[in-house]
Amino acid sequence: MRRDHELHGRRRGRNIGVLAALIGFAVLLFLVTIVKMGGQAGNPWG
Amino acid sequence: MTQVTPDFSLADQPEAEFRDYITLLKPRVMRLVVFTAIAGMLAAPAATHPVIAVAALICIAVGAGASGALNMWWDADIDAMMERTSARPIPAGQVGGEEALGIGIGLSILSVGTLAVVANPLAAGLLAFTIFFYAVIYSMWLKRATPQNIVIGGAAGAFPPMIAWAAATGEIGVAPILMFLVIFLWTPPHFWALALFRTDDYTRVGVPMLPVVAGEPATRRQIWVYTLLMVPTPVALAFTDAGGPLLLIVGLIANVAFLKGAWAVSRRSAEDAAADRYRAEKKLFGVSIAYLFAIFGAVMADAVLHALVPGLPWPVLI
Repeated sequence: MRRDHELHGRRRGRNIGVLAALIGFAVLLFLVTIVKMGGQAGNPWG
Repeated sequence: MTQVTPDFSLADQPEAEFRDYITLLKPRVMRLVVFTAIAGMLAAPAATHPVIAVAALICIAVGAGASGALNMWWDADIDAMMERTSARPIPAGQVGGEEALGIGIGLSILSVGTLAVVANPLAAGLLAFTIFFYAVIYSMWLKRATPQNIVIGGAAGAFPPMIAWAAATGEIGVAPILMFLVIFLWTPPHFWALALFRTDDYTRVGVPMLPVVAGEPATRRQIWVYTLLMVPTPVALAFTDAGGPLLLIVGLIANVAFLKGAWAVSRRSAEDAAADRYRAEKKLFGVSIAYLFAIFGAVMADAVLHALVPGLPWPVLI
């Protein structure tokens, strides 16, 4: 059995936080792209 | 049998939690930045898609946070010696200096680049200038060099509503300049009220804050002078396309409260202040925070009022 050091727990929490921030950023860019494309969204041939 | 072998080499290195990164971005300053930026965005005479508005506000907030991280990286040596700042992530050993520098630079590039794509180059340029102003001109050049540091450095905190306005409209008008002036002229009395009862901190680290260099009487006079310069700005803002009756009423009431507090502070001696442990100065500091939230809250309320009552008769004189 291997017990995690307290630092490992801290690092895991930090990694999850950074991952959540990156996913949030990707979602934001996706939404902005949809809005900027306007009526063209989902129709690449215009 | 369970065998645990601790890795002691890890214990010597700063191992930040995610919340340390958030603290590095100065969330209290970010709150003020976001609040004033929302006011600038709502008051702007342009219809902005909610997704674009939220994205632009996030960029402005992250940009402000990035400049906060750069400020903490640069000031880590004096932060460690001041009571108010000694628990910040770098002096507390939770985040490494170089890590903070990397976060500051990375988020600066990310926020400015994203704002250019989401909104326009003008807003992105203003955000880049704001970060440069706070991190380089204020933190690196002025803070430790001149007692006027807070006057000039205050400009950095005054830009967010202008950036939000530029993001919404693509231009800068009289109203965002007046919003800038409200915060710019508000910063010195707000900060000097704090500096008067935090003199020991700044004396210890040799930062030439006005009360340390020019003394208390001169600081009290300057607080009064800047208050007099500040009070016309929200009234003038009320008569622009970002204003309205609510801002005029709230601005006049808030001005009376601020003038009263600043007058009380300006008339006191150091002995009076020491006798009641800087009660008037602490009160002015609290009033100044409420003042800014009241003014920009009223700007938002007027924007909502204009949306609910189209064609509301109101003289736009400026």
